[in-house]
Amino acid sequence: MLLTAIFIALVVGICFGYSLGAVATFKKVNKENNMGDCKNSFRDFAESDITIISKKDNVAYSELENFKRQYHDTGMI
Amino acid sequence: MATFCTACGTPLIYDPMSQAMLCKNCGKKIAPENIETEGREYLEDQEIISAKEAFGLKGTECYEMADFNVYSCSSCGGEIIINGTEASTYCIYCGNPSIVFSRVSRLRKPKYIMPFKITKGQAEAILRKSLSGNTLIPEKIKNFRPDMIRGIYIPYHIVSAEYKDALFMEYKEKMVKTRYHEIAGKCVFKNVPVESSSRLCDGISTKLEPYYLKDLVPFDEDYLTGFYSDMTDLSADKLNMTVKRRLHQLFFERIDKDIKGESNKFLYTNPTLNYLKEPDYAMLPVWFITFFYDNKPHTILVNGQTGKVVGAFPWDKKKYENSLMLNMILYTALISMISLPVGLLCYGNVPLFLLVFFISFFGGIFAVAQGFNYKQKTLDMIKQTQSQETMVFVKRRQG
Repeated sequence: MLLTAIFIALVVGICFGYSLGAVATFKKVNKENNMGDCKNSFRDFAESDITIISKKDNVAYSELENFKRQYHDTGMI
Repeated sequence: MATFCTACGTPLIYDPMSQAMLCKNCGKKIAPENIETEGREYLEDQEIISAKEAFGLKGTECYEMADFNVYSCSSCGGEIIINGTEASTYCIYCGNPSIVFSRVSRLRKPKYIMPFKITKGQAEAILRKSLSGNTLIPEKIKNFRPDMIRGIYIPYHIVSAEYKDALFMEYKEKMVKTRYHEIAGKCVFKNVPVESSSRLCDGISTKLEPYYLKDLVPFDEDYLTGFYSDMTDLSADKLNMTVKRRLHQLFFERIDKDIKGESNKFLYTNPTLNYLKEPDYAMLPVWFITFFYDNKPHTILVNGQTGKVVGAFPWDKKKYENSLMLNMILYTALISMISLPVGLLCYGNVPLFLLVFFISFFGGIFAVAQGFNYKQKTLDMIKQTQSQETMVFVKRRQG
């Protein structure tokens, strides 16, 4: 019984362990060899969060609707 | 134009350490704002010649840099050849700094400048220090011998604007189902630095941020002496497009965070800009450090204000393989020990064993797929570091 349990644990360990080991190495490469990757994000420049525009009275939304209609007509959606 | 020392007549250069104009001959220091403009020697355009004539370039190389202006050095009278956007350089004959004042004044003058705070020596030391603790970087790179170190003022526009956009996006749910998401919104962005030189890759320049704008001072051409500098070459339309692209990137990143899916991409975008005030034209400092490894140029950027290093380095294959093997063995041993109770549970229960096996197998594949993103990010950045475009931007200058 113990041998079987060890065998199953090894199967799980190899499947997950190999991949997590690879991920850990890839992360290390990214951390050590890629310098200055982080850049300023939305929060650094935005005064507040995005204000959602209402669908009814907005030009941007009406153009978006037109695009969706065209997209739908070409059978891509 | 060159500014000369009032005591000994030697050309002055801007010294980031003392934040003053320094005479390397007698050591006299003068604050840039205290230098009188009278008595300055200006360079005037003499003639415009082709790139082919100037540097003996051919074909596409020649196309990249169309016209050059020829000036006479105010110190030795030697020829100074600069491209269409450069505003300050060095004379290759006497090594003295020169500012093309007629260009700075004739083209739109920058409103602000952020003087270099990091010296050339500090920039190199910062890079060496960043490399020293890293185990995967080849020793040859750690002990690099810089072929070029150039301090260049890059043109930026500091933008404050209301950005409005409508997005129609496609994304994958649980990596399988294709879903769509639509959103229209607006947002006010303040003091976004937008790099405005068409000759430098935007991908690299945004990574140089943050720049702390409190250090901006009213533009004074004396800050350019001792450094190279480029003026903006973007038309108003192109600048608008660049600003829209930058703000769209920030807007999209924010929306992207709310979507629980993968491979998000936008199919439609309709950005509109409303400037809160006219963008401020400013020059920001960057050190470019170029060295060769495996016969390929690597250009690393160092933020001239904060010392932030931007660039990626190839890894040592042997060290990488050793690290991979070690991590795989360690994780396998650790997870095997943790999974022992699962093994006991599965004893005599074949369906449960098969379930555990499939979860482990596909979970492992999923984890590796996610992990590849990290490796790909590094590979993409290495491409930018080795890019000819960046090296050409740095190299094709006198001095």
